[in-house]
Amino acid sequence: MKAALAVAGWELRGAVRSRFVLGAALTFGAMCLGVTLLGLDALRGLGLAGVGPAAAGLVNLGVLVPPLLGLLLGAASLAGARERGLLAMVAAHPISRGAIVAGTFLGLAGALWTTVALGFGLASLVLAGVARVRDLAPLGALVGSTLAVGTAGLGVGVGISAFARGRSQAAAVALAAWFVLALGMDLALAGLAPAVRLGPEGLLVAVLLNPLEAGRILALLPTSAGGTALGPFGAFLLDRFGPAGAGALLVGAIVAWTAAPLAIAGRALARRVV
Amino acid sequence: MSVIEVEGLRKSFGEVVALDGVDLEVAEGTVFGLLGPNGAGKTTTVRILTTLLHPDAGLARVAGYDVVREAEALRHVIGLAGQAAAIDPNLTGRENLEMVGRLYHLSPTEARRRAGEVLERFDLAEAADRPARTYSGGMRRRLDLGASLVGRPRVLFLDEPTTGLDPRSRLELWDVIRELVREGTTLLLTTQYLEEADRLADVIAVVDRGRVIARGTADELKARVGGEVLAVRVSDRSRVPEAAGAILGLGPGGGKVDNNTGEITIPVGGDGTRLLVEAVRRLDAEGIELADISLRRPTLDDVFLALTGHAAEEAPTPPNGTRRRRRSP
Ligand SMILES: Nc1ncnc2c1ncn2[C@@H]1O[C@H](COP(=O)(O)OP(=O)(O)OP(=O)(O)O)[C@@H](O)[C@H]1O
Ligand SMILES: [Mg+2]
Repeated sequence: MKAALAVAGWELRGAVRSRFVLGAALTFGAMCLGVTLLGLDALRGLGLAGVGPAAAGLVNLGVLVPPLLGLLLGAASLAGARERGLLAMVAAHPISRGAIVAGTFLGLAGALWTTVALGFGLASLVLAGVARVRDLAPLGALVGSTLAVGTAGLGVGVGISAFARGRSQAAAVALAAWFVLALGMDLALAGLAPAVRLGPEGLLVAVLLNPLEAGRILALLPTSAGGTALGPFGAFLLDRFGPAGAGALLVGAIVAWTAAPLAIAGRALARRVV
Repeated sequence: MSVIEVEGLRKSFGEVVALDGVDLEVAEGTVFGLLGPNGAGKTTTVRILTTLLHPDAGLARVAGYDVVREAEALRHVIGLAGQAAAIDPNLTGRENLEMVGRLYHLSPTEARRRAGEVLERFDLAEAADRPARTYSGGMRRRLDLGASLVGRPRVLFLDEPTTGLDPRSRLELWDVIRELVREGTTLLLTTQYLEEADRLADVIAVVDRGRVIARGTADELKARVGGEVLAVRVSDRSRVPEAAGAILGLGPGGGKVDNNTGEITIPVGGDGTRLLVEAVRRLDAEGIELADISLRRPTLDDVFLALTGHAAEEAPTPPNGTRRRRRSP
């Protein structure tokens, strides 16, 4: 445990110092700010007030960008350390391979959360002026699910890293995974839907198979009970399991998406030559 | 008492047989040198003994622990500085060492204290708070070596500790290593340089293609080469065979012509100067013009020649030359 924490501290420090995290934090912050300002602007044009649409823009940003960051950070981790001989160095110390994976994940999760917090921090500075008390729950759900999907992306990224031949291969696979989850899955389902009508189980599986979609629905659950923003999958979940049940299911799916790749990574690393 | 016991160690990577039945025994508090050319299996041996790699067959115990079954316990009492310096360039020297201390389960305070000690000892105190990426090659090596000591290991493994260093840094590092040994650490080091093994090791094992082909003290090995070596090069390459015929019989035995360089080498025992003069005389009598003639201390290549009759498969360049690298470990 002590050694795992040492690895975590090391990863966190390295990540915070690397330009990647700083750049990502600034970019994500700027994007959040932009989306928020545009959203608010559109509202004023309609003579409305509130944070709803601005938050909707942030949801899309939040379920797409942090998972990408997580995937890339995770993918670079073990594969990069292996390339630089650091993985072997660490592994020659009294620490199990599982603890190496756990420590790596924890440290990078800290870095990722810092990045996301910074981005949302910038957005909330702007939103603070217009937000009302009843907006707090949706905003909370947004931040929570964004952190969750980002962390799931990180888990998958670390998993990829444990198997990859090198850092560039890991990054390429991580990018591909992100495209599939962010775009490919929706497209495939949209294409399939008319041909094979997904039954209830099909719909359920489709959501649980895509952590990004799960995160998107989770973020929107508190705002739009039965609303159209949830999409067909979300509407189905809400209808079938109620808000609490749907929420639990989605959280469970995201946690599984985080934990399973890490467990697999730990076992893979134990067998692989570092 | 033996601190390292290795019996019949085998390891293959696909088709490549890296270790083909290695036996070693290292006594407590001694320095053991594993001497061999590129690809001999030195790093593979070290990686197995430091639990990073599982052997296909054979037994290995270090400090009483089985390297496979008691790997985690063993890792508490060993230190390793690998062939390529494994330090995080984004952390400072001090942070790198503290990190290693934490990996040995030391408290933050203790890790900091030992990091300070190591920085002092390896002459890195001034650069301690600079990112390691700004360090020179020699400083990196020292930091890496220092890191392997943070845990105060009973058994230390150094894989080619001075490869790639300039002669001055090499000498400095030798001093540090000798000092460590005086403090009682058992050390296994690998090297491609007979001179390095000679300076540091109590016992040397020569490895070739995954096998130990000879073992003994540096003096014993050198005796098998026959002391110094007379190296002769003639101006006209077409007359090499003729020259060889004239002088190969000079020494106490052996001798060889390198077909690539045209160099004729002859072990001369303790009789170097007389045989050198005799060689010059004979070649002169044949009317063969000399390009170069010298007496030199035997190198790994000479030991190989004497032991195996063939040159080291992938001949290393001399210590201060740049070395071919086929692959990073
Ligand atoms: N991970 C690996 N995969 C495939 N082959 C390997 C691997 N590691 C080592 N080998 C092969 O095993 C043999 C022994 O390699 P090893 O690294 O032990 O040699 P070495 O004596 O350390 O050489 P060098 O002086 O170049 O470091 C070589 O032929 C090498 O190519
Ligand atoms: Mg090697």
